[in-house]
Amino acid sequence: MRSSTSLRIALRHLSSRAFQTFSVVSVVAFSVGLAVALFLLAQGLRLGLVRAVEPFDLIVGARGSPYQLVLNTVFLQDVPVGNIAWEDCVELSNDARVGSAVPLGFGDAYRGYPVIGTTPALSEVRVRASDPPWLRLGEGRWFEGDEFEAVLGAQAAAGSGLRVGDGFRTSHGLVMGDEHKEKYRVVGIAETVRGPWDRAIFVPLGVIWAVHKHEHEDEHESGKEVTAVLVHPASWTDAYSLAASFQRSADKQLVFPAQTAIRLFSLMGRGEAFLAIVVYAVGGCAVLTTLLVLYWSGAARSRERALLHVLGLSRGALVFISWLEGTITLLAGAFLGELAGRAGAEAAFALLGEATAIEPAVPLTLQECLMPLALLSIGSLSALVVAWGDGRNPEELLKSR
Amino acid sequence: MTTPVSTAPLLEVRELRMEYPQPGKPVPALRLDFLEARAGEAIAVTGPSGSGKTTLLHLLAALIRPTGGVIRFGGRDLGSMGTASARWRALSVGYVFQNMNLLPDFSLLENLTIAAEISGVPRGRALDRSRALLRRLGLEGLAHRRPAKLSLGEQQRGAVARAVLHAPPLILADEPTASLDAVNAGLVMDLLLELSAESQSLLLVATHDETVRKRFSRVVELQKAAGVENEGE
Repeated sequence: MRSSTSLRIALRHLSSRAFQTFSVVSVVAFSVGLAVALFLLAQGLRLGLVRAVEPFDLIVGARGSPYQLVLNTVFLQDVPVGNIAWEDCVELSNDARVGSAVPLGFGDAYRGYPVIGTTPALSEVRVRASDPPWLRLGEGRWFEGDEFEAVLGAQAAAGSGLRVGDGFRTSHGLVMGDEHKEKYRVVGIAETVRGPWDRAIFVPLGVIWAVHKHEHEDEHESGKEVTAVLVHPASWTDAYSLAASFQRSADKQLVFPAQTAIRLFSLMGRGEAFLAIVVYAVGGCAVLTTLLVLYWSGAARSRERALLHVLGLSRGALVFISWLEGTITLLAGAFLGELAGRAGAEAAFALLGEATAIEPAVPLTLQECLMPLALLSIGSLSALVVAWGDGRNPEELLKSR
Repeated sequence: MTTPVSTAPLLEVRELRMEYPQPGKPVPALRLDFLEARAGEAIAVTGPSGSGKTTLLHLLAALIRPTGGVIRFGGRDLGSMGTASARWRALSVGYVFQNMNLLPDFSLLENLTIAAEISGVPRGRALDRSRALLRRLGLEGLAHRRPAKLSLGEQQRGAVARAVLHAPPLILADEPTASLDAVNAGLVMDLLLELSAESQSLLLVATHDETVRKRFSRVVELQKAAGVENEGE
């Protein structure tokens, strides 16, 4: 008998008990989908975090929680730890151990998109010396001097609908309202960096100071403050030397965002390990369900099996048909689960991307397919065992006719 | 009924014994000392319940192995075929049961084609043959119905069609009319005798129905656990 005939018999058996088949495929798809989605989310978050952190060698900010400083500066989340004096930034710029120091001032927003006061030096930041600038313009130009000009991050431009030449007013804080009277004009739109800074609106730091002058006059002699300084060290030795210097500071801190991200990964890892146990338990349940259904279905079909045996099917052929039924069920479940997992992860990425601009798209990898493949292999092998020992021999089945 | 038969025996049975293993003592199920039959012959196998009619048919289909004696079909020892028995059965045997003959998930036409495919007929030819046979039997209009949508008589006629489709040299029928009314029983027996004669197949029908028995010129009567053959009228 040809394999196509066995396949036709197996497919017909599956379609004849459509509800049962649908239920088992759904259970398998659910477990595979869960595993794939969790894997993709974890991998995607890692990739997204790494990409977001890459341009930030060192960050200097007010003393407080280093996590908060990184969250605020790199991921544009949470509120600033506090401000440091402009003089500190100047001092850093003049330090021989510093290659470049880019001041960053946070606090204002436009329709939820954070406004960052900075200098054109930001356009020179590179991930590696040989790389092109990290933040490149897609259209327009960078702001010049202390004019009320702004450059929009890619997502800020797309989300706000602002174009080059348009005007807008910022508000104090991230919540809408309390609008400043000064109007900015969009002069440039940046290409995407596939990270949180796509949500940012860049304006001259001097303008931020001018807008907030009245609020800060009493705090510092100059009234000029920055929230953080993005520091690119002259060398990694200098980076550690700088870190040592800041350890003695009472009001400032220097953080390595990469180290903070690694600590975050470590925390994530613990959660992932627990989730992995849950996922594999669900996968095990799916395989068990498939095998139970296969066994029950085999027992319920004892008469048909006997009939097929009388027609000339060997026991091996009967086992092959039962095995095909189990394997097709698992294959369909694994395939649909992979699709559902991908779709679920993409949906989560989209939500995450809207909120944080982290864009953690992950290409299809072998690692991602490991769980579906493992489930398929174990399930298929077990299906063979169940099919082989499925009830009684065909000769025995004949006696029951 | 008279049919032309060949002279050389197609089936030879000598000192056939079948016992089923039981704790303590094996249970004797069949004893048949001698039987010869030729291609084209039609034989009724009769006997009381427990005399081994079904067991004999299972032995002749190489579904089980005898515990003693020899069965040769076409010169081949059926008791020593081992795993090759399924292939031999697919090619050489057509089998009709009392009921539950058709695969419930397949249409009548598919029941025929699958059986033909199992016996090695290519799908295209299997379809052509199946349609032609169903047409001849007046079952063409029911070809795409599943067994649950057919009457018992229609199911049994379909089972006969399936058994003879690949013109096997041996056709075995186990109480093929037991579940049918007189009219349908007559139709099924007509078909079995007519089609097996056409294909020059050796036909053995196990029955306890006197009406059916009377249609055969040769009868093998089994005794309970004794196996005495009585040639009939």
